[in-house]
Amino acid sequence: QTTPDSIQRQVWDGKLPVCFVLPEDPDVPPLYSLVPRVGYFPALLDRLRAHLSRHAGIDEDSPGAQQLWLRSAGRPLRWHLPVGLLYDLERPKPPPLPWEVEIRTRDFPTDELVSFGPNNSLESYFLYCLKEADALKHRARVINEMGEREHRQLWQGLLNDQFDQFSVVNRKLMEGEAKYLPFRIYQQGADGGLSVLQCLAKPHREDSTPLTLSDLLRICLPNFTDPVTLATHGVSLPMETPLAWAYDKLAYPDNFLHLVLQPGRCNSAGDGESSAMQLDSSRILTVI
Amino acid sequence: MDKSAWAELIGLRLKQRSAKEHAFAAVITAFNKLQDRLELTKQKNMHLKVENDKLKSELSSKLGNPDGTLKSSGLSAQLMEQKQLALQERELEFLREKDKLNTQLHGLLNDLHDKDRELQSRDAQLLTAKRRAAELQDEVQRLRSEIEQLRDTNQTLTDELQANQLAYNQVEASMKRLADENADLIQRWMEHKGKMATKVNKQNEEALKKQQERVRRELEEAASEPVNIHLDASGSDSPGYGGGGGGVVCLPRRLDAAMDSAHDGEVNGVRWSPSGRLLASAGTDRKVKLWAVSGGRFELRGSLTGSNASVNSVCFDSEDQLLAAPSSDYAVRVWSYADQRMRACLTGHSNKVLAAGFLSLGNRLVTGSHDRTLKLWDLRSRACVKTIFAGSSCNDLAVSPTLNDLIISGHFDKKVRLYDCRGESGVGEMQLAGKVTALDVATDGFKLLAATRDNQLCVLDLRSRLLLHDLRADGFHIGLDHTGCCFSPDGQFAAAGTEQGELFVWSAITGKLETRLRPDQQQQAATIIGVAWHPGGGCVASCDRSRHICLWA
Repeated sequence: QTTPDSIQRQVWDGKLPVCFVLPEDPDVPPLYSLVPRVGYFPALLDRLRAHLSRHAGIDEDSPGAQQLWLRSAGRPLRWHLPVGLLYDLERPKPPPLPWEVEIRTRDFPTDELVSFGPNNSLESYFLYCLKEADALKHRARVINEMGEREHRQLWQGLLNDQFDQFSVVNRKLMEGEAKYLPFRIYQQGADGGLSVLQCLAKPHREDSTPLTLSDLLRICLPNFTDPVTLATHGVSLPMETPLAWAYDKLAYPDNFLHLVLQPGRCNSAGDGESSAMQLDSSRILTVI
Repeated sequence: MDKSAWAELIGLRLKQRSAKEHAFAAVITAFNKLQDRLELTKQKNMHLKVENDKLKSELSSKLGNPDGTLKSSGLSAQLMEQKQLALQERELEFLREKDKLNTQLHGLLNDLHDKDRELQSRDAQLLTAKRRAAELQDEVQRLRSEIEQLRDTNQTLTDELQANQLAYNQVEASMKRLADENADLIQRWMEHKGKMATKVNKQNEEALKKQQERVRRELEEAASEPVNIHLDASGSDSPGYGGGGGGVVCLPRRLDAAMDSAHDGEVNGVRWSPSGRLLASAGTDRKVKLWAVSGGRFELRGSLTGSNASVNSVCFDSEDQLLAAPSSDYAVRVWSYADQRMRACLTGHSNKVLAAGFLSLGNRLVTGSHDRTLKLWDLRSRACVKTIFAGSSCNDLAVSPTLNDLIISGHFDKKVRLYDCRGESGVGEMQLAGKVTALDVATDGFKLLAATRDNQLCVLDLRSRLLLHDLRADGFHIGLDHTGCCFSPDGQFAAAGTEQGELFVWSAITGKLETRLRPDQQQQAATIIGVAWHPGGGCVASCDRSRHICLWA
């Protein structure tokens, strides 16, 4: 059982304050929202469109509203990745909160972004991630044994922020002996490019001791010598953390452990409170 | 590092992150709420603006002053207005459609109602038709049963008719048979009767013959006996007129005696008393005189007075005590002639009383009058008991004692009427050829002698009411309307007087004229009014207009 204080619950409950602005029309008031870290941006598109049609006079059916895309720090947001991951990827340091995301209505970058249409393609993508993860863990046995209702329940649980609804089914996927642990390591390059690293990693070493993150690095980046840190969900992880434990506690709802490679050494406890809250007061408009 | 260290570290770092990142939650939610409220207020504002615009435009249109400032509404307001108009239009359309649908619905409901009503009426019609059909069925049933009954009764009636027909045929046949038998029987009876009658006739003839034989024989015997016969004026044979009844009747041969000036006027009638001792005569001198005749001489025994007019006739009662004298003073007087006292004076007739007759049973008198009535009187009460309207003046009366006091009256209208003294109306009548002047009944009461004005005497049988004989003769003329006639006591002879004073005598049996007697002297040739045969049969008394009373023997 997960208590509200447990790590899994905290992981689930993590929310980011996001401020959606329409730069082409500064009179349009921004949309502030607490977006779940484990959620996806495309799930908010309807809300964005409603906001625009109400305030920006952009009809929901208009092509601009239909081709909405998001940009942050001059780069399109790769919204097939979870929100938290996207925020953690921001270089050189995490943007000040609330995270300002630009809404774009024109020039959809089809070569960089996946266009999630209205036909549940986001749900399909999510399920695809689950299947891939389960394939690595259980040769897809568990995911295939589940019916469509349970798949639906997983997605709905995620969409509606219902932890219990989601974890009832997810437990099946997370329990048991995993063959390989599904994880990905991301690094945002200075030019805006993203490099993704995925390789096979058993949960145990040859001597049946748990595999640690440092072992993982050595496996995935054998020639990397710079001091780096692996972070996820906005927290950097100590290198001694067993991969299996980390996966079990810190995996995203899509059953993957998304790790962000950050330069710099991971300090021990007591070295985490570096960035303070920075409220940009000019972005909070007074209520008319 | 041990397990708990890195776990704790990670937990701690997660907590720090959450605290940092969730710091904005309250602000953001507040901000969102404010946004929503802002939106709401904006919308309200928009509505109010639109209304305001509308009102202003109305006002301006009323004032005829389009204000340009009213037209300037914000873009969003215009949009809102357009949207609102569009919505209103849509609303109107919806309302119109709703109305249409409503009307359709109403129409359909009405149709439904009509159809329901039709259905109900059809049902009611069906019900009544069914009931009617049931009734008709019942009636058909009833009529059928009636027909059955009628057929049965018809059958029974025809059977009865047949039976009746048979019975009737039988009865008819039997009746025919009986009728034939009856006819047969009647015929035989008639034959039998005829035979009987002829036998009786034969017997009678034989008896008569025998009697005649006997008489002849007696006569022969008498003739053969030498008898001293001295002829004297008093006539032959027997002391005829001195004696009483029962003497042998013989024909009068000549005028025996005559009494001159018997009355002071005409002598209307003469009558012998039943004993034959006295002769009564009635005259126009209003007197009734009583004579005793002996030896050719008349002795006046008494004179009965009291009548106020001429006495028309006289008659005696059967007991030889009373004498009735009807007179022309419309009254009838009854005397007892033994003491010559008047016993009764019977008035009541309205004209002269011409005839009277005593009835054999007790104290009754019948009178006939010129006033066309007959009256029956009771002598004890001296009152008229009955009045019979005869219809014609009665000239003479006679009573037949043997026929239950049959009253016979002869009338002016040539009829002889018969009355029963007890009945109201006449028993019969006989038509004669002439006015009936006088009547006389034979002593046996069965024969009637009627003198009629056409100069004949009729002999009638009272039982059969048939005319037996017509007595005529040459030279026989009846002189007066009340000329009399009479039978002989035995009924063999009938006598009547003529205008010339002659007395004619016929045989009442054969009808032949027996004698015709002329008066001796010329002075006696006067019209004979009344004749009376002595009860002993020896002589005949006659009275005439010359006041004579003659005796013929």
